[in-house]
Amino acid sequence: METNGHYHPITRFIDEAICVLEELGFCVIEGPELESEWYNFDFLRVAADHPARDVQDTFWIAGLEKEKLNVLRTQMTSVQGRAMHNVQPPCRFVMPGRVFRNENTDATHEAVFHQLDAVAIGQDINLAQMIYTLNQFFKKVLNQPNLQIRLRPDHFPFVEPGMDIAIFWNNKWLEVFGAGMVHPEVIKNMGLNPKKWQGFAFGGGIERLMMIRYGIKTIKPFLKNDMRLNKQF
Amino acid sequence: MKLPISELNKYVPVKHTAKELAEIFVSLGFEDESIEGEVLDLEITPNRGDCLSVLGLAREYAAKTAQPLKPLILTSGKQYKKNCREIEINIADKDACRRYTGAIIKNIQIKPSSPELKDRIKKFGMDSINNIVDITNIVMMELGTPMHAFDLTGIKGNKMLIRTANENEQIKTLDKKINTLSQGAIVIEDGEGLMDLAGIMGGERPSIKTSTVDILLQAAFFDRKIIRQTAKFLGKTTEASYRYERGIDAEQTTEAIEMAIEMISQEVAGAQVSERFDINYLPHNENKIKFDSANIKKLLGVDIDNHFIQDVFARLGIQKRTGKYIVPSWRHDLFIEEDLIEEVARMYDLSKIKPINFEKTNIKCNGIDKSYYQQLAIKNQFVKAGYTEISTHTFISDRDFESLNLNEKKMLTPVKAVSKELNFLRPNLLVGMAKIFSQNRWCYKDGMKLFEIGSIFYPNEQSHIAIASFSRKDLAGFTKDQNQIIMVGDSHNLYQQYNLKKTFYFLEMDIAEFPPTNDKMRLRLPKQFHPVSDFPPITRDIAIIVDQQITAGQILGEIRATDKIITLVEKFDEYISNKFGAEKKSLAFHIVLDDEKKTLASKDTDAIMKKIVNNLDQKYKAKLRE
Repeated sequence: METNGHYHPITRFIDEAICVLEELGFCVIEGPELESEWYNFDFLRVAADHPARDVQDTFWIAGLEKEKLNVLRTQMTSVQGRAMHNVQPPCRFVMPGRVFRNENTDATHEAVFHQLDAVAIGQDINLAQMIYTLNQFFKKVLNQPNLQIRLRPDHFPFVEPGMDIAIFWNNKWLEVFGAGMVHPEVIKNMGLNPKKWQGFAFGGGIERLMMIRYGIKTIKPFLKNDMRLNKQF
Repeated sequence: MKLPISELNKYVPVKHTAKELAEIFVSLGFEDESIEGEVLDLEITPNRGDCLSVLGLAREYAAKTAQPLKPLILTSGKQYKKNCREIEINIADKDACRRYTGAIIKNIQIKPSSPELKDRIKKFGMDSINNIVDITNIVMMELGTPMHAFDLTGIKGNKMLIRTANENEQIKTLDKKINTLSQGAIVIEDGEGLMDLAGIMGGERPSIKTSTVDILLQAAFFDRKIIRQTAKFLGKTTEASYRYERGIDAEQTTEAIEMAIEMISQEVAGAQVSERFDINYLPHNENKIKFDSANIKKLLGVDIDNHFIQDVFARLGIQKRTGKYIVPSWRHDLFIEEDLIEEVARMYDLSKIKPINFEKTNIKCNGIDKSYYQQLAIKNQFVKAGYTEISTHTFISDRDFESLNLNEKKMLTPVKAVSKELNFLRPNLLVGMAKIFSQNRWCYKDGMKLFEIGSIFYPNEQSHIAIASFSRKDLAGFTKDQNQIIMVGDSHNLYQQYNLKKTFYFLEMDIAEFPPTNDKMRLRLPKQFHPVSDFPPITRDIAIIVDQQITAGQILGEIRATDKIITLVEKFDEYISNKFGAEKKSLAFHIVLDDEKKTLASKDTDAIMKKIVNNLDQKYKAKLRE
C-alpha cells in the first residue's frame, strides 16, 4: 500500500495562516515574483533615493528598463497595487509569497524567503479592527490561545499611522510584523478616493514565525529540503 | 542616538529609571538598542531627524509625561548682523544653502577638553579631539544642529563663496582624503580654492590645529537632498551629514551658535566674540494641516478626549491657528491629517486601543484569484499519491547554468548579486531537484518521489510544476508526451555535477498545462517537529508481527517515543496473512535516527534498536519478523 507524501513546511504554514484569515473574510491574491519598480516601490511611496532601492539591498535584473518587470519583489506589499486593479472595495485579501533581498546571508537571513501580507479596505475600517485581526491571527498561527500582542509606533512609507507588532513569547517581546493604516496616497494610487476609503495592512516574514513557533534558531532548513524535515510535515 | 540621562535632565526633570525611560521611548516609537548605565542608545527612524538630538528626545519625553520643557533662551539680547564683516560671505546657490549663521571668536587656545567636556563627549559615544571640536560636537548632539569651526587664518583672501560643485572638482578633507566631487555637491571656496565639503566634512586647510587662535563658527542649513546625494556618492556619511539628510531645524542656528559661545567662554578664559552674523534666506511659508478630531475615532476606532488631543498638539509645539495646525520648524514628517492622528495615537499609547470585532461580512471576493487554490489542490493530489513537496532556491550558480546548456540570452541575471551562487534566476526547476536528490542520498532506499511548484524565469516568469522519481513508470501518467520525461543519469551534466549516484526521472511543465483537480483539503501544522542535524542520519528498517487490532499508529508512536534522536518513523508495509499466525499481521517501518551533536556510531544505533524491540515486545507483544 501507498503511504502519504508530505508538504513543504512553508506550504502548511501559509495555508493554516490563510485559513485563519479566511475565517475573517479575507481571500488570497497572488502576484508575480518579478515586479515592476512602480508596484514594488513608487506605488508604496518608497522614495526614489530610499536606501531600500540600492543594488546592495535589492535584486534588480540586468538589462531591463524601468517600465518592465525588473525587480525581484522585496516585500509582499507589492501585490497590493496589482490586486486593487481587479477588486472593488470593500475588500479584504491576503497575499503570501516569496520575497528577495540582495544581502549576505547568515543564520537568520536568506536572500529568498516568504512573507504574508494582508490588507482590508472599506469606508470605516479602523485600527482597532486591525488589532482584533492581528490578535486572532497570531493566537491561531502560533497556537497560543493566550498570546499577547503589542503595538508601537514605527515608520513605513506606505502606512500612516505605522507601527510594529510584537508578540510576548518566552518572557520576551519579539517584533514580528509591520502594520498600519494604509497611507492616503497609497489609497489614491489604488485608484480610490482617500476621502471615502480607508483601511489597514499588515505583514511580515513567514520563516521567522515558523522559527518562533517551533523554537528553531536558523532559517536554513526551509530552503535545504532535508527529507528528515520535509517528511515531518 | 546615544542619550545620556544627565543631558536629558537639563531640559526636563527625569523622573524615571533608565529602564523605565527606555520603555517610554519604545512606546513612542524609538526602539532601545541598549542601556549602558545612565546612557540609552535609541534607534531613530529616518523620518524623525529632529530626534537625533537630546532636545528632540526631551520634547518627546516632556510631552509624554506632561512636563514643561525648559525653554531655550540662549539668543535673548544677542545681536546678529546680516553678514560677516571680517570675511565676505556669499551664497551663490540659495537652494543649496538657505541659511548661514556664524560667529567669529578670537583669542582661543586649542587644548584638550576639560574633564567635564570629555565626560560628556564620551557619553555621546564620540572621541574627544580638542576643546573647540568637542564643543561643536556636543552642541550638535544637544540641539541636532551640525556645527563646524574654521581656523580663521586658513580662510584665504578673507572671502567665502558657498556654491555647488562642478563635476570632478577636488577637495582635501580633514581626514586627509582627496575627494573627487560629482556635480551639485555643496562646497565652500575661498581665495585659494575649495576649502570645505559643506554639511559633510571640513576641508583640511582651514581645520582647527593646535596653533589656532581665531575661529569662525558655523551653524548652517544645507539642502538635505544634495547632502544625501553627495554623502552617498562619496561613501562619506558623518554625524553631520546624517542629520542634514534627515532634516534639521533651520530656525535654530543662532541657538546653536550661542550654546557653543557659552561653552567656549567657560573652557577658554579670554576668548572674545568679535562678531555674530546670520545670512538668512529661509522662506516664510508655514506648513499647515487641516485636522478634524472626529477623524481620530474614524481611523483609530477609539474615542480620545478632545482636551487630550489639544494638549498633545500644544506639548509637541503644533500650534492651532485659524482652524489649522502649524507644523513646528523641527518636524519634517508631518504633512497630512493622518500624520497628526499618529501623533495623538503615539502620545495616547497604541497599546491602550481596544480591539473591535472584525467579523466576516458578506464581501464576495472569492474567485478573484484562483491560482492559490488550484495549486493547493494539485499539491494535495501529489501528497496523497506519496510525493513529498520541496521548495528550492530561486537562483542558480554559473556552474549550474553551464550544466544546463541553455540560451544565455533568455537567462535573467541580477545586478551585483552578493554571491556567485545567485548569478542567474532559475530557468527551470531541474537544478533545484538535482540538488535535493544529491543532498538526501541517505533517503534513496526509501524511494524519492518529489515535486515542486514554483516560478521559473526564461525569460518570462512562469509557474511550473516539477515531478521526480527513481521510476519512469511513476511519471508516465502525468503526461501524454512521454518524451517530456527526462532521464537524469550518469551522462547528464547535473548527475556528474551533483555526484548523484542513482538515476532519477524528471518531468516539468507549465502548471497551466497540468490537469486541474478539485481537492479542497486544507492544511494544518503539526504541534512540533524534530530539529534536523547537519550530520548525515542513519536509517534502519524494522518489521514486526503483532495482533491485527493493534494499529500502525500505535506502534509508530511507541517507536518515536523511544529516544529523542529518532527523527522520523514511516510505515512502509502493512500485511495481513495467516502465515504470521491467527489474527496477526506484519508491519514494517523506516526509522531515521539523527543526533544534532554528532554522527551516530553503529553501536549507539544498535542500542536504540534493541530498546525499540524490547518496548514493542513488552507493550504490544510484538515479535521481530525473521
